[in-house]
Amino acid sequence: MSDSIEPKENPPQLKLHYTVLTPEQRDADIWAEEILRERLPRTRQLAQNWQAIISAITALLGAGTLISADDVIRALDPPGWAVLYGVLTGLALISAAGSILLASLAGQASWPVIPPGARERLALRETLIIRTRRLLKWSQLLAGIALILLICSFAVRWYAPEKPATKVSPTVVTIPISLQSAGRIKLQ
Amino acid sequence: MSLKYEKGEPAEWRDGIENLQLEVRQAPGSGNNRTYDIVGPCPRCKHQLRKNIDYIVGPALALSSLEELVVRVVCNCTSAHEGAPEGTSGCGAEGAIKLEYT
Repeated sequence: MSDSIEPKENPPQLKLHYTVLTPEQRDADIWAEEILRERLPRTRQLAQNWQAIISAITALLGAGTLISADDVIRALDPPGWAVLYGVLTGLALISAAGSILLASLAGQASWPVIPPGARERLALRETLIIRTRRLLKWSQLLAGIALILLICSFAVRWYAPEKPATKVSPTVVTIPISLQSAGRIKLQ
Repeated sequence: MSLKYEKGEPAEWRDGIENLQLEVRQAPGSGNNRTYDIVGPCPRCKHQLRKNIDYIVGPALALSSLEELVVRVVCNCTSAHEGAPEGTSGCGAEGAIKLEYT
């Protein structure tokens, strides 16, 4: 009995044969197909989780950086360092905001026009999956850039030269003390 | 009268897969992107089934590990079969097929 069939087209040359799956292999195959079927909602869920994480981190680090930015900039002495710190911090926050925006777009369910044909529907679904993944990747890339910029801004903040602290000389008050009042003055 | 829905590998599966074929399609202008489908009459109900195996062949081609691939094929014909669970298509027949690279 011949249980193989030649494929119609050339590459790759594959023949079909009868075989048997173990129950474990069958379960794993069902599991894999389930994942494939749920790729779009799973990717969107992943994007939403990522957005929550990156938003929390940005809020935490961004707020702290912004609040103390004025003092840091005033303290840096050659103005170039202050400008560099401002630019790095600004770019870091813009990158983080971009990352959040892209993650949000990736996590959003779109409202596409569903085509009537099965083939077009499959193409649409695959396009949506690819788009979601692409947005998520860009979001992660921007988050990475934001992190690097933030680290650089911290480096400037910690290691750039600062203005020398103004020396405050103690005020000396001279009080003339007459002989009569000498006994009444209490020095504290 | 259509066959009743029955889940599992039918006795006709082994011989029936002789009539299944691997269909390779290439959309115009898609470069080297091909789609791979196992198509043909279901060994049990004889209605047309189609199983897309891009997700198996694609990665295997990329990893050059095409010597032996095993796929589970389930009848997904569009004909009605008595006793089929809600939302499912096909007659319930399923079995494994080994794709051998030549």
